Amino acid sequence: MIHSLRSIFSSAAPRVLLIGGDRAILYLFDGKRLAQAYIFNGDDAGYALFDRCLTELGPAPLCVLVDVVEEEYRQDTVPHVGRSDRRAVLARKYARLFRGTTYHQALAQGREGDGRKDDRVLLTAITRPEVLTPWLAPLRAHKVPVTGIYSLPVLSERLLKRIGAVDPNVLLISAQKASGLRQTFFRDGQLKISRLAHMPRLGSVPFASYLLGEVEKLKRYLNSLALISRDSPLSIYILSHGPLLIELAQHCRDSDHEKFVLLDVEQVGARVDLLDAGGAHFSDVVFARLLASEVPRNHYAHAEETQYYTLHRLRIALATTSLLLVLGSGGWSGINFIEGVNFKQQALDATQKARFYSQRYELARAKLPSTPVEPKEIKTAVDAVATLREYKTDPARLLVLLASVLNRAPQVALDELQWITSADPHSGVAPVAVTGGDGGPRASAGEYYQVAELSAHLEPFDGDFRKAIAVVDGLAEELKAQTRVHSVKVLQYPLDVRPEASVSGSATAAGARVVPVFKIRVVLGERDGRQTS
Amino acid sequence: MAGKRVDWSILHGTLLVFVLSLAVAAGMVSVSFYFRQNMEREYQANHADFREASRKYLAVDDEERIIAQFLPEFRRLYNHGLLGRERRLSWLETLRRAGDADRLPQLAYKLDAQRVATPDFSIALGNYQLYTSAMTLNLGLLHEGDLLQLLQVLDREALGQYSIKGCQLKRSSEDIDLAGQVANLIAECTLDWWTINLSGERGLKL
Repeated sequence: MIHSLRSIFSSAAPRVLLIGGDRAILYLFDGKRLAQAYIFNGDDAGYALFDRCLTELGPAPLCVLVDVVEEEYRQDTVPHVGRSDRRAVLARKYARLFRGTTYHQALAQGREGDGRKDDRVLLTAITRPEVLTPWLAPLRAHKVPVTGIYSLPVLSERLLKRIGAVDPNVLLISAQKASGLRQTFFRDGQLKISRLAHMPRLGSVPFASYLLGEVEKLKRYLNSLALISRDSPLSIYILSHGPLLIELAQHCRDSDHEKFVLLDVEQVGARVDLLDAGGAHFSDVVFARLLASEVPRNHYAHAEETQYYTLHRLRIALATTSLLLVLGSGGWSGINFIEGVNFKQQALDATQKARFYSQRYELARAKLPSTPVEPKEIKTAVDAVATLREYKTDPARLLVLLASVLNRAPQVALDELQWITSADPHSGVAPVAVTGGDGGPRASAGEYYQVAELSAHLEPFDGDFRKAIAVVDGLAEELKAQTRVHSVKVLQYPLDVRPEASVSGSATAAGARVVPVFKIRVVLGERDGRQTS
Repeated sequence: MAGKRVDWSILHGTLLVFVLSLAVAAGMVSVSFYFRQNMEREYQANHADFREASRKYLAVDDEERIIAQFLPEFRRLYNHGLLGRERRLSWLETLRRAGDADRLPQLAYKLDAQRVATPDFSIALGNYQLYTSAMTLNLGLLHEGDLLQLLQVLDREALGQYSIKGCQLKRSSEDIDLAGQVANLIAECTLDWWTINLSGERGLKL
């Protein structure tokens, strides 16, 4: 499990398999240092060894770097269209230009300056997939997470800045043990054409002369395609090492049209964070390191060829999530646990304090006289009774008030008196409902009333209704003038003289005897809403 | 990547680890959360006990003052029937004595069952309950002064506190005969007899 997790979370540089025409080299890095390199010939024995090697090494992310003669480069233009249309246009071009292969790509290289301003693209393809198949099949069989299949010439574009090759016309020449002599031409930093030539066995031919001869061939080809800018010389960067580099220095002469820059492979290796390039004049390891140090977007691989890398990344994501889950929940749980323990400690403290104060309270309480209820409830009861007394009502005040007023009006004879207490000054005087009904108004300061309706008649009465009405009005006014009277209203006059009322009777002095009955409603407001006892 | 081509065997181990991690994480979080919740609840309860105990201890002086100030009045109110159980017998005996003393031509009463009251004014009752018994009095009076006198006797002698909710006085004859035994006025009054007591079974007892 630990080994598995270590492999999952390992951030080591991926392995690189450089596939050449007749052999492949597997590079394993240990940090910035080359740890191991396995060379496999492109024959049955080599394939078997490769398969065995994969078995022993176990699965780890791997980049496939391809440097083969069977890679073609076509400069072309495509209309500047949307993504899906562009894909369709490119598919047609692939089918036309690179029939029989599915390993192709299009590199955007700016736009045309005139016309439709089409997109300039460099179409590249590995025209014979069979050169890759023997190497890719074991990778898939061993479920190796392949990050992608990369073209060495395309990748070498990234080397230019590292070696300071910023001239308009750059020809980069390097020798690979796996493939041969690679010459790649860049115009304004963009790959235009590349050529792989056979690399003769060292010492069999003069290396410098051979190389310069190959350069001459490529120059003629470039001139035929008019790819070289006439404003600047061709800068030829040659990567080599040791005696070969010295030999090249003796033969390479700058001119108006060309400039040679000879670079030691070891120094170039240092610029791609490689501590030891192996002391050879081959540049395979430099490109392998360049690829491993910063894996670019896939060039040629299909989805099914990178599926194990996708799954590998998914594994890492899952494992990372698992680790974060455990760590996060562990941290959160730890905080919860610590807080819980703190609460427990505080609870114990609170219990002790409560016990302490309870004992002190009992001691102090023992000195006080025993009470039927809690002391605060004693006060509540006394206060509640006081409130009841404040709201105690009886008709004495009203009767006294009426007596004092009626004494001054001897012709008024009281027949009936209805009296109630209410929180509503507009309440009727109908028989009182039992206290406790909800829904009625509640008394508050200044809002408690005694409501009374008195029925009376005038005696003696001489038939003068005008005078009788005046007596009733006078009585009402006198009641109004009394203190604490909230309102007075005459409900019925001895004679109803309202236009809407029907009136009947005898208008002669000898007519039937008429009793001048009237009704008055009186409302007393309690002082401060309460009645003193 | 077509789904059918995906080799999920690569993820078996990691998926198992992920599920286990998820279970472990959920377990740890649940258990620790439950533990913390329980401890916090225990702390809250104990802290409330502590606050109540300290409050009571600090209130002892107040209690002493309240007892000294209000307990005598409390006892007096209890003995006068305003607190604790109602004293119906006292009310009725007082009524009878008053009727005899004032020679009222008519004195009839009706006393309803006691019940919990909801007064139409604000009153702070705390743990107490306000009870009321409605009494209806039908009186024959020589004059209205008899009513006031009866009420004064009730105020003075009956154990309890009443409040009159309403009264109706009606002349019973054309002529007023203050010397005779016939009622000149008929009165019907409704009284509420208030009692304050502890709610439920636990009645107030001294």
